[in-house]
Amino acid sequence: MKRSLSTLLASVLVCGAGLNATAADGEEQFIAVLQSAQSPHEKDAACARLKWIGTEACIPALAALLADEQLSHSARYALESMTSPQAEDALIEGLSKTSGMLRVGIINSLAFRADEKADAPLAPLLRDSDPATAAAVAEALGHIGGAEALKALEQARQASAGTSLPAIDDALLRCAYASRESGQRAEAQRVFQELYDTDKSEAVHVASFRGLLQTSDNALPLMTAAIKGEDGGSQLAALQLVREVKAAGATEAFVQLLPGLATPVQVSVIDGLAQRGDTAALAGLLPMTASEAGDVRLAAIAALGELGDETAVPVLGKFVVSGNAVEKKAARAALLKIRRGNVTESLLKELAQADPSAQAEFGRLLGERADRAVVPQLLQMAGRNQARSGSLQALAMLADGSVIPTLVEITVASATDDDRGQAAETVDAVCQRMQAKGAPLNGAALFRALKNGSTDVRVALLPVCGGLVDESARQILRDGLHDSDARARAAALGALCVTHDAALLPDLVRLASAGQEDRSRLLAIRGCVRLMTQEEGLKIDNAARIDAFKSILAAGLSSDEKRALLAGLAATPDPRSLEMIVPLLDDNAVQKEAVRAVIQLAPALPDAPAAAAVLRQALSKTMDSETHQAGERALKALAAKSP
Amino acid sequence: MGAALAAPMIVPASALGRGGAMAPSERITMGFIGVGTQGGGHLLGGAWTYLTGGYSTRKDVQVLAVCDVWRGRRESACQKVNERYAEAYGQGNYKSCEAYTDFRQVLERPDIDAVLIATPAHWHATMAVMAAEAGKDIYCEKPSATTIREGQAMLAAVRRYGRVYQAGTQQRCEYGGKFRQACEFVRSGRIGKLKEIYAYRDGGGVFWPSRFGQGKPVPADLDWDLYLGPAPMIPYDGNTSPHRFDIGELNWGQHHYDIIQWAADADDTGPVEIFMEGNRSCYKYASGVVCYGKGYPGEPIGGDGGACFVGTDGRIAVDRDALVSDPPDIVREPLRPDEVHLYEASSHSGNFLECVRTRKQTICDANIAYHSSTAMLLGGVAKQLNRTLKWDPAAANFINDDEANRLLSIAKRPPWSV
Repeated sequence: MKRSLSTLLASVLVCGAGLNATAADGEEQFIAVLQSAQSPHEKDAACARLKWIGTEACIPALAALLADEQLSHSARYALESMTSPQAEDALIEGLSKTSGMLRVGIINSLAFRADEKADAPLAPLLRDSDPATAAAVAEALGHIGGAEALKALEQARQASAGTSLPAIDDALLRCAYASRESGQRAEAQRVFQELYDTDKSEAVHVASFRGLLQTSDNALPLMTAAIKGEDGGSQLAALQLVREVKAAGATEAFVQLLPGLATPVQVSVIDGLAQRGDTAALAGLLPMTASEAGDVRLAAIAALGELGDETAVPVLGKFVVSGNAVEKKAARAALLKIRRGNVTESLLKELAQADPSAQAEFGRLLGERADRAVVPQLLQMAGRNQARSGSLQALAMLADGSVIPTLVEITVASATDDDRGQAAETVDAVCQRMQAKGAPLNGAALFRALKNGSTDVRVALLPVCGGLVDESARQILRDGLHDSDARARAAALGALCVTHDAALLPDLVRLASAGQEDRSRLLAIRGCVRLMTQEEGLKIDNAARIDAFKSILAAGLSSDEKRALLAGLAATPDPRSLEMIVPLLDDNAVQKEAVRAVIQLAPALPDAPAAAAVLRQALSKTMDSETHQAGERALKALAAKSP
Repeated sequence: MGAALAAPMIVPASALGRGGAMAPSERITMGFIGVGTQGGGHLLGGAWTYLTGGYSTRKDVQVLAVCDVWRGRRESACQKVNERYAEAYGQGNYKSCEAYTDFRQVLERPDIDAVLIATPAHWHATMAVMAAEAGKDIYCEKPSATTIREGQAMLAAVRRYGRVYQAGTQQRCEYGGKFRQACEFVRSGRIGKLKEIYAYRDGGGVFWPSRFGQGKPVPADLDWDLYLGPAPMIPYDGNTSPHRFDIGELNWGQHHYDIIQWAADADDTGPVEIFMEGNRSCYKYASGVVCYGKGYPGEPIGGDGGACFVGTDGRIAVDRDALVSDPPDIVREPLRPDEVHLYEASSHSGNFLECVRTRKQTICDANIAYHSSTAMLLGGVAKQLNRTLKWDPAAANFINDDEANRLLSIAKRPPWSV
């Protein structure tokens, strides 16, 4: 095989050898190493190389090392994976030249190669006095399989009472499976049956019964009998096959078993049916949700998630409404998964019939299932005050901008503040989602209602404007601040103070810089700080921030207002921020916050020595050890930045 | 009818973590093989683990055995388990945990239902095969195998004996379900047709090192022979790392390819071609999807166990910390009922124990573990040969490529075999 120089060298390195081979060295060179007086280290490396490139030419040299205590493993390393029949012959010959672990190693290599040619030389060693040899031979015959190996193993099993029995049993299992795979089903079944009838270990008991179930013409009756029966090993093997056995009518047979089984076995069969995925089990699973045993109920609920259709919805719905916490969680998960039949229609029915307290559950489920075809029905229900709360909850998750006018109508038509508030929250949720997607807002109806609606309507819908980035919304908020009704003014202020709209910053700054201290000014200052320093995706440069903060600070602030402002200054990495903070270090009411602001701000400033000086000055104002520790960390960061 | 066996092994499902106290006989009895950093974390909890408090604080588990080649580790672990049980159940009211050097003694105990294998990587598959043959259910750390033939042997043994197997690729359950969601979104077509996958890590494998030279004295509290196990007998050199025989990404690779196979709907199959791009192994699936063993340019999410999936309509990146997409809405919209829902479990250990009780299939069963480890190991072979390889996933052979097929296995030191 043609190979590049680099590959050759790299592969020698990969093999971990320190071989003194050169690029010109080929197989002959490695053979020469094996036949020389070079060190075991060199010979081991040559074997490693020959594993890759060796041909029949190197086999005699490798074979000669099989009986070498130090190098036998190295020789097998190469020989074991060579497909040449001569490699097989060399290993077989090695059997008669070795004993103990060297011979076990050779037997293992023959096992790996699984060539029937090794049957005859190996078989007599099944009765070897060395238990490790006998066990290895059994394993090898199991790997090789075939009639001869099987015959030798069965004979040895009859005679064996010792340590090699597990290996013989394992080998017989391998032979039986090999027979099954080659179409000799009856032979496989005979071996499994023999092992099952005479097994001495639980492992073989389970394995042989499993084999029987996989080869028997009567697998299903055997399985059902085992599942119902008292024999733990057979039951275990049968339960494991519930999910995969192919026999006709199997699902129905397992379902029929369910009522008569003990609780843990019921759970196991239900889990198996769920993994089996055959919806024929559904009718039998539904009654299991009424089991007195909680574990069975839970297993059945989970299985309905896999196999259920719309008929399972009322059953699961009951658990969502009135089950215990674990059942509720499982039922919700199942209802989110069910995909057969008209589940949406069934959930709508449940929603329509649900108590007000349970509506939210079904509303959320409809929303999370994301079947948007249900939106018109939900709008009708909300409009008719039928399951209004749950319908609106679902609409908040499902509706798009096209239904905003209808939702506004529902808001306008609401009879109570609570109803209006919930409808407006739905409008808000839909608007937010549309805006986040960059989809058209379709807000004309909303803005009309805000301009022309009653005070109650304006109060309910003004918060929606706080979440919008839209010129009409801006104007409505600005106008709202001058509304003749105090509730509407308060709603407009509240909305303005949570705006995401950078264009409203000047309005907020104006409110925050107003001459008179009151609650609205504090809200406005907080709103300014949030909008300028915390709003995701919004970049307001430091110069604009500093201008705003200066304007606000000039208003003569209360302690709470100063604290709010300090948060903004600390998050604005500009030397002018520091200048504004310094006087506040001497203001006892906000000194603590001012020191913390310096600690946060200083490391982000470009002039590290100047910032460090102010930081030291700030730290001199406090005895608090935690603050000092934080200050020291900041000073270290500044020192690292200093030239 | 064979030997009369004890009462049914299925125990009340109140022990499924579904609430309620339980009698000792209802607990799953376990042996822990390897109690170093990883195994000790599983057993006792710890900073790294996703399993708060470890198995030894679970009310549905009784740890009966711990095993390690280091005496200090096994004795310390055993003592801590017994102290916890004394505190939880009262002195003398529990069956003591015992410490073992040789895992075969743990497997011989008929009173142990399941084992957790967290040994050095070169032991994993050999022990899993032996555990299955001993009739134990198995939780096995990754990599599930260090060669492809080992992986096949592990899968065959688990099937032959009808055991429950859970690979320690916990990302299918843990980390808030982010990985499952990513795979559900990909398989539901949220990014359109899947075209490329960026795996952030590539293939790996195992090699046997030079076996001769001057060694150091073996510490009195270490069983060096059992540490080496199937590896050649090499002189003790002070290195008992769990990954001393690794090539490439053997340690972390399976985490990534487990998720990639899940997202690519390839749990029952694997790539059909492996090629090298620079020094990184890359894959082609029969579906046409190409998987690169490196990160997506400029995308920081994915390196910690994750991947970046690129489709005709968008991109999803996921790791243990984050699930993101471009456009962002792809991962913001909840999964609809008509989209692909994958096996869901919120606790990897809990899923294993539940399946031990009910015999249902685990979320990372032997078949999945075989295919995800194989994907990773195929890359290791390609890296060693530094050329393109054609793979037949059904036959589990490189196509007409004797050289590559020789690297599907590695001879083990006797008596160990699979």
